[in-house]
Amino acid sequence: MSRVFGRALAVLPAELGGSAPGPLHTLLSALASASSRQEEESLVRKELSIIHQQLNTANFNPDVASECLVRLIYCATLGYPIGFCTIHALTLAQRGSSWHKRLGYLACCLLLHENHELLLLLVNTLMKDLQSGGPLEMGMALMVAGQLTPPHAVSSIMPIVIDKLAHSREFVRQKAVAALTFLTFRSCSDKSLDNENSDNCHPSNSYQRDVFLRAFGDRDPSVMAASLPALLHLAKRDPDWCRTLVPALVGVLRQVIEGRLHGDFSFHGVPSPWLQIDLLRLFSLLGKGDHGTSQQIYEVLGECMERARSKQMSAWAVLSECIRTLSVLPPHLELWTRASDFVGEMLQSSNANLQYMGVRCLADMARVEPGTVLCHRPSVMCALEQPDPAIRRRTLELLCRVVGQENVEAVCGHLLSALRDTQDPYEARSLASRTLDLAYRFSPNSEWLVGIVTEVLSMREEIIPPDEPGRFLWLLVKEEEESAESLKFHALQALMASSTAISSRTSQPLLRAITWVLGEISHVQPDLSPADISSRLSRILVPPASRQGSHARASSLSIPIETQAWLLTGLSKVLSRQANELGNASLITEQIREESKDGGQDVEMTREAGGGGEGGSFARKDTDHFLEKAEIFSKVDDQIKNMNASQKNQTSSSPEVIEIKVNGSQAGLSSEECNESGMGERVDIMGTSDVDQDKVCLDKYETEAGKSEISKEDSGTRQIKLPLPTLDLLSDDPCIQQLIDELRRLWASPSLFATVLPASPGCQTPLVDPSLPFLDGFVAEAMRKGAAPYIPPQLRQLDKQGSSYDAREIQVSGAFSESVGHGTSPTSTAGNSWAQEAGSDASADVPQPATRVWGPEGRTRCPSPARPTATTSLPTPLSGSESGSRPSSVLGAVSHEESREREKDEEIQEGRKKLAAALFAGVGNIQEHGSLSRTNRDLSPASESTKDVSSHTALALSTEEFGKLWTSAIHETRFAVSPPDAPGLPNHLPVAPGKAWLLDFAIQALSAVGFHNVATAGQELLFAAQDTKTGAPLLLHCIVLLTGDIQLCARAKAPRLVQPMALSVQRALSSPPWPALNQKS
Amino acid sequence: MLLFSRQGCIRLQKWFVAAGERERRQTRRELLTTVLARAPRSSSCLQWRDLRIIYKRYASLYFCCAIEEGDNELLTLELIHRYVELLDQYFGSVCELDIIFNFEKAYFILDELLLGGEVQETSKRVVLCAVQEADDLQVVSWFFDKLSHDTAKPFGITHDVLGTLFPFPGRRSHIGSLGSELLLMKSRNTLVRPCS
Repeated sequence: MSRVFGRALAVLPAELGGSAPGPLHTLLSALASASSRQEEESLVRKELSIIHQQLNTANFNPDVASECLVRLIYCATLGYPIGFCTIHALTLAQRGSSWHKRLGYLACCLLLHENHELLLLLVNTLMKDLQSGGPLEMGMALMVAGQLTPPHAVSSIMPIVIDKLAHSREFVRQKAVAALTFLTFRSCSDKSLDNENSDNCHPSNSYQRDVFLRAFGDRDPSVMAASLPALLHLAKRDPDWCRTLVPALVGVLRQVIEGRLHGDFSFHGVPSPWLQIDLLRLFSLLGKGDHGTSQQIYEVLGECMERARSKQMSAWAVLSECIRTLSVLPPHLELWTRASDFVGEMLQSSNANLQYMGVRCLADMARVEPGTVLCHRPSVMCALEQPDPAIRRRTLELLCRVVGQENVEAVCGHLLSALRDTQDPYEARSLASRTLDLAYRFSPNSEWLVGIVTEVLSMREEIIPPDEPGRFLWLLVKEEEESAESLKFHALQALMASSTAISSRTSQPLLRAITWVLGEISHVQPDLSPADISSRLSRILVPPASRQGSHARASSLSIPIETQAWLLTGLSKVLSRQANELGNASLITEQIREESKDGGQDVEMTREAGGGGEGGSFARKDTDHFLEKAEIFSKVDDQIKNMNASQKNQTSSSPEVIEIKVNGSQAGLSSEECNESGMGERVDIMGTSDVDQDKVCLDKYETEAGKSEISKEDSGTRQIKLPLPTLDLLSDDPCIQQLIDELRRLWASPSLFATVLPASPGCQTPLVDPSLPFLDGFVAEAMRKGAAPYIPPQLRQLDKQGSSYDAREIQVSGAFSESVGHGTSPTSTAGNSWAQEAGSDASADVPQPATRVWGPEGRTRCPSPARPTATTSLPTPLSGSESGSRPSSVLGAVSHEESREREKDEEIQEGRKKLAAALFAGVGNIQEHGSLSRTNRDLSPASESTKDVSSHTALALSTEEFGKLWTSAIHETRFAVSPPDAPGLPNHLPVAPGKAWLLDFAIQALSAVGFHNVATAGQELLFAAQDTKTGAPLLLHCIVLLTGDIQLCARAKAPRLVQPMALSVQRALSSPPWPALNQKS
Repeated sequence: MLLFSRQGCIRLQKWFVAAGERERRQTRRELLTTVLARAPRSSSCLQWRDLRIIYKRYASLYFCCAIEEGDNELLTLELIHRYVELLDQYFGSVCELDIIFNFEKAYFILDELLLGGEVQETSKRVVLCAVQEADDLQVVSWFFDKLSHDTAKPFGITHDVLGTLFPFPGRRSHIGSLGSELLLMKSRNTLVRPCS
């Protein structure tokens, strides 16, 4: 602390008349003279131990106790833990006389929180004081009751508080109303309360209403003012009932602004601003979308605005609240122009706070009428250049509200530059998602959109919205066009460019997007050869610099496992294309020769890697393997010879590969001498029964399916050039290893590869029977030999993990379903009978879009099974209007000519104008075409992408069955969703007159994600679905509130099921497009 | 509500939402760094997570409030100003030292002003009366203790005698509230009544 401060402290006792300094004073002076943080800490610790001693040893003496508590509070303010003294605060509140009691209560309020276990002891004291104390004690107790009542004591304290509403002293009544408001509305939103209790204190209960109404009609204005927060809460829940109060409220506001309250209530000449603002907020809630009510409000609102014209800040506060209320009510032309004038005044003020408020009010007005912004263009431009980041940010939000197709480029440019500048991760996250939302909705052409998305994706990883890059890729999938102007083409171009500059700092979402695009849609650009792409991908997987070094393992491990899986699936897609091309074309010897040369190079490389000691025995084995084949191929001259050679080769190499596979753990053991720890883990993983079993299944299929095909194959050729690193170079994760192994084997026989993963886009979706009946005999035999029974992945770690979702678990299950997809298709030609529906069921199986790209259907065109209806609704923003003249550029050209003759200052002005023109282009005419053109776009990818996360299907139930299931399912989660405002539709349109419309929306949105609507009763909806994996029922209870919020309660028998369900429901209900709304409008 | 000095020392804190100690500590730290880093002439509002922070600097003290989306920023500034006015009037040209040494008084004043996060009483006079009243109570109760223990008896002053001095017989806590009670009765009028 500063020296000046210390000196000031030293002088103080003298000023106080030389009285002996108290203990608090001593403590403060000691702390002031402490030179370092450590010294301060030791002082405080010493003090705390002294206090502890004093409090514990002495008989209860209120003076000593309160003195100690004061010091304790000070220590707590400094940030030291003082848990031991809370009990003394309670004692003092209980046993002290009024002054000490007050201090005790204060200490309780500061040191306890409402869920503290010691609060039980406080409740008794509170009740005693409330019932028998004098008015002051009552006041104190009410104050504390309003802050600290534990949830379970609400029902016992509430009646006493209600009694206090009839007390003779108004300050008691006032505090009672405030405490009651807090108790009622806090406890009802409190989730920990059981149903019974929350019914008791439900505010729609007429008794509660009467209580607050009585308080509102109190003869004392301060009590009336205290009841307004409660009315605000009530109005949110039940506006219809509250509308009957509007005439009374208008009367009150009129009296207030006419200055008929006592001077006590005015604040710097403004009559009771707090009361006014509470009333205005009530009006905005009640008048929203209600013409009748609004008619009653307009007049007094106008008066209020007129009288609030003063230089006082509180007057501006009232004025801004008036404007905000006005922007919610149905528009009133005269008031609107006046409000617009006031906003202009605020924006031009030199006071930063007023500017801030002006921008905020303008944003509210722009939501209704974007044209308003045009009048204040210069001021908004100034605000955009303000040094204050808070104002700049608000201005950006304002701009987001007026975005249309014409100015989206300029606005997004600003958002991006703000995104680059900001340091705050919260702000960056919201900016990033906002930019992407706007870009998706209004993108003028696909090249620009791709640019924006890649730019955002290349930012820091933590700010990228969690649904990226899935949302972008989904957009790519749904586009059918494949011309040079298509989104796919541009995406490929952009991501190819960024794939050349990949470093360890590249964000994972960008890396995944690159992988997916290269793997899935590289065929859009015909001059890109699959070989080129596969080498690019493998370079990402294992950077070339590290291939030979001893750090290879470490560097490839720096890529997270999930991304590794993306890379490998991408690689397998490209390789399948390669395999297909090669399989179709007759094999030309030239090519083979070339490849064998390449193979030789690869062998060199592998040898080096092996020589570096990294690969261990495994790599050396591979090297030998390659060498052997390289020798063979250097000899072959024609195709026949090649066939023979490969057959010979195959017979020799095939068992070896399997041997390597089976002895994987041994190889790991032997190379453990070179690597330290990771290998040990791998051995453990390989040792567990389930992994083994997966692999055994796979081996079985491969040997069976392989035998028939491989003999006819020219297999060995491609194995040389398989651009994969050795197993040991990659992760320990069994899932990754399995992927590599599968790829390796498929690569060994291109025709098998081509059958498993057909390249033609229009290929049929193979049918998959998830129960794998052809393996039954094999499994039975294995079990007889003592293998452990197979446990589904989702049940394996259930007891360990609880309800949390484990990433590895998902991957294992995803990979397993992939292997199923790969494995079953060749045998399906052998005439096994399959259930027709099985394919579609299994396709909804994988819970994450990440693993879904390579779905069980083989090489799918879409990352998720598109419903027939979904594919037809292509989002319109992609059909870019390249030819449409862009106003910004035209204006830019004009202004450039003018500025030649002028001074530099004016050039800057012109630049600003240009910018303004770009920013506000098309704002004015949004009104005419706004609602229509926007609603066309409303089927944005967000709503579609919600479909691919659902891991459940509809379950038809009767209401009785639902009831039974509901009571038997015990795990539940409660949450509320407030659907966003409909885009493109001004708030004032009477779109939500009744709840029926909201109900329609909820039903539509939820049945789109696979919920069956069991019953609809009033505002309540019941939904049911079943988990696709286990068939367990998922139940959903949904209440549509009049405020536009939707309250939900999701239940299932297992806690694991509840969270994903809640997530998908939440997404479905809160995604911006409102299909139901579009139909209405 | 948070008060802290320019050096970043917390002087007073009041939480209206339940928060654990760790969360509080982190919030404090983040707020301190963001607010202290602001340029001197910028506006008093800033976005912090999903809340808005309204702050104002008086001499070396920063007053800081977090509000939700629907609340009015300017009015919150005025609330801070009202609190400072109250402190000023109570302590008589308040300075940081006053708040350090009498922080419990500062808390009492804040308690009268705000209840459960809502503005409770905006009248300067009423708040000050209530606090003064409590202070009187302290003196009176001290007086009573002294009386009942030693000094009173020799002079023959008993509770009964004291009771007759004040018009409110019975519980002694009534006595302290006397002054402000009279004041309130004189000045408050009851004009506003809903016309229902």
